[in-house]
Amino acid sequence: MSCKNILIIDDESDIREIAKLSLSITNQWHVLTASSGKEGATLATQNRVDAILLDLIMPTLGGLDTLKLLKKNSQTADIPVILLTATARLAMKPEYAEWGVAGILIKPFDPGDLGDQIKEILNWDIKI
Amino acid sequence: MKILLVEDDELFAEKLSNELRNRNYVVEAVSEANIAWDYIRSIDYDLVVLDVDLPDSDGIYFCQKLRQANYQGAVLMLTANDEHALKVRGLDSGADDYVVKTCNLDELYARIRAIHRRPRGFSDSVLSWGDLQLDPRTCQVLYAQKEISLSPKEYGLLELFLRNPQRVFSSGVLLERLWSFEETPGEETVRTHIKRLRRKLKQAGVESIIENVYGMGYRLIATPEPEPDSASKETQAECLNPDSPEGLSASFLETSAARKAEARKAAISALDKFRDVLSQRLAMLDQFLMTIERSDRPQQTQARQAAHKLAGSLGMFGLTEGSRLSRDIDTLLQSPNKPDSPTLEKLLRQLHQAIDPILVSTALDYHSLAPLEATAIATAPSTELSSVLVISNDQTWVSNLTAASRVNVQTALPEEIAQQDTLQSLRADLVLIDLPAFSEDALGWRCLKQLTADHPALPMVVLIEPDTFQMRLDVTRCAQSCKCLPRTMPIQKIVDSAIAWYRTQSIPQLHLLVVDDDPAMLKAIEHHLADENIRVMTIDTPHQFWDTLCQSCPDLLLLDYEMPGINGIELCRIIRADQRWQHLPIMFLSANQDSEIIHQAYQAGADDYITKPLAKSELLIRIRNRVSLNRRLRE
Repeated sequence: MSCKNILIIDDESDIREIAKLSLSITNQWHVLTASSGKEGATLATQNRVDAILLDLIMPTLGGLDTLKLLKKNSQTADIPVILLTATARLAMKPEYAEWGVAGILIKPFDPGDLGDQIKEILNWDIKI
Repeated sequence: MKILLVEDDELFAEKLSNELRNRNYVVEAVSEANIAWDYIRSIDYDLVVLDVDLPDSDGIYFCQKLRQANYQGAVLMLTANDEHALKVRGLDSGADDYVVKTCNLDELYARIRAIHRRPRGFSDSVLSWGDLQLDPRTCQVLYAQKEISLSPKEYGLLELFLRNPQRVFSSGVLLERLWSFEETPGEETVRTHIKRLRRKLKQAGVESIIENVYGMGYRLIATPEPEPDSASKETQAECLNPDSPEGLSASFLETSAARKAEARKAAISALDKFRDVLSQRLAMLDQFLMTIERSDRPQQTQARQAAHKLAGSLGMFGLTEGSRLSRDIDTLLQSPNKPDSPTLEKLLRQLHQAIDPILVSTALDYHSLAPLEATAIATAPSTELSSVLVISNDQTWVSNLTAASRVNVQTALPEEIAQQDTLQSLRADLVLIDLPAFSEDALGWRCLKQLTADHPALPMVVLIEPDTFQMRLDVTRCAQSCKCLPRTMPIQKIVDSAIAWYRTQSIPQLHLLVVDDDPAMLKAIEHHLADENIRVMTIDTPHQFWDTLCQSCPDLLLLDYEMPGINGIELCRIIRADQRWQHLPIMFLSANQDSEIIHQAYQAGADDYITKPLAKSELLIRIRNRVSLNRRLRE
């Protein structure tokens, strides 16, 4: 599998850092991080991004609004988005499905398994 | 390669050590078997070169002892005696080779290399990484057939990484493997040598050979592979096809598992960086609980978000119980009504118990990653002693102590303490070191020093003999906060003294109530004490004071002097007039330095008076000392 570029959008610095650590150690993926939806949407247009991990609850521009922003932009519309949330129930709203969410990851995640979970959701095979 | 030379002939030992060092080996020499035993139990040697005739033991017997103790390292026996029968006995005792002292050095080096190859199964003595080659026979490092000149330490580092391509080496392990006891450099030395090695290799054309593994150390980067042809690509793809599990190569699975473990360790290591963030979220919940009666909906939402974030974060650091409790609090706070205060208080107390010890523990190092809970026990013990680790080699005395104790007694020898994980696996609340029990004086002292350095927060009781001022001074210089007891004391008294002392030393989380009308000052105090295992409740108007005091039962009360409506001295008098608060430590924190006011504060029942501006360290020490003194008095 070629090196993937993952963008993590989360307002919590610990989540961003641990997810970045996890993916770079377990899969040697390149990880970009953004602390707000706006910053994330900008980064997604400026870089080649293979997948986005998007926190649901963020101040100012929340997860749903960021998702809409990404999907409305032709440059980023095709990037698969995985929602990150501590409460699965919150991600079950029909709007998220309507906006083409690829999957949901429940926090806290296991830093050892995060990469495998992403691969499973996105059907990326495990060839290296 | 690290070698322990066990040889009592000093001249020969020095000569051989120097020769080996010239060949880039790291050599430590000892003259007796019992010292060698301590070294081998403490340090990971690649080879033990063992003289057969030692003053305190027969080398053959010593080698047998090592093998019986399941020592897996290589042993090369060295003797002046060329007798055939002795060679057979030596090899049968478990030695990997037997060399007569009269052999020339080239033969000795060749035998050392041969031994080194054997257990690790190297197929070729030349180590390679792409076009980079290291030949241990000639100590030459070549890249694209050009020689690279390296210092002995740089050479040793490169050899170690090349011999262990998958392994991550922390600075501590590198120091242990490549530097001797006498050198005792710091971790910055490792960084400097790695930097120099990288620079020299880069100058020679070798790009990025050693990588930093975040929070862990250093590792050899995977060998640069030549582009495989299409046929080999197919084979590789087939081999790693996830649809056929039997096709997954073992090495892929091993690497994958190792990386997962590494990622988990790195996450736990990173916890140190986020202590403040986690503490702030916890403090937000505390604050909400304190003001729950007056709280409005936005405050409840804020508290719920803090709980939600904690639930999402804590599990990443392995704190699953903390994550579960935070989730329960999150659920409780989602209710449109005010949450049930006792339920919230109970959950919050449990959450504090689950994560406070972790949040206040000292910086975690690579060695203490797995037993996080054990670290927590060592740094924030409960006030009741439950487990004592006794370091002594006097079995009879230990048996008597065990019989006299009401607590769990475990024993260990100093050489076991040298292994980083022993204390964590034993989970001792207190360590009792029986200094006089060690016939070799330095052994007990070395152990005491190491324990103090590795576990500064661990309560220690040191038995001494003779009980002189000088002896107490020596112990105090070695371990500042330990308790000295004369070994001649009756065993029961030693046990009782240790338990009583532990109770006064082990301060679990302190609850501090601060009354000050200046919100900035309250915030500053909260900020100063947030990382110190002190739970701070603040009140900015004296009118809320009485209810909060009765509800929170603090360990210490910090009062400002000047407040609107009622001053601190009046508050202090009211508190002291109530029987329930006779023993509550009260400290004043005020900008007022008028000696008359200070006098009145003490007369009203204050225990201490600190003038602003305050120094964090002074405030902290005064708070801790006051609570500790109060506890001792009440005992």
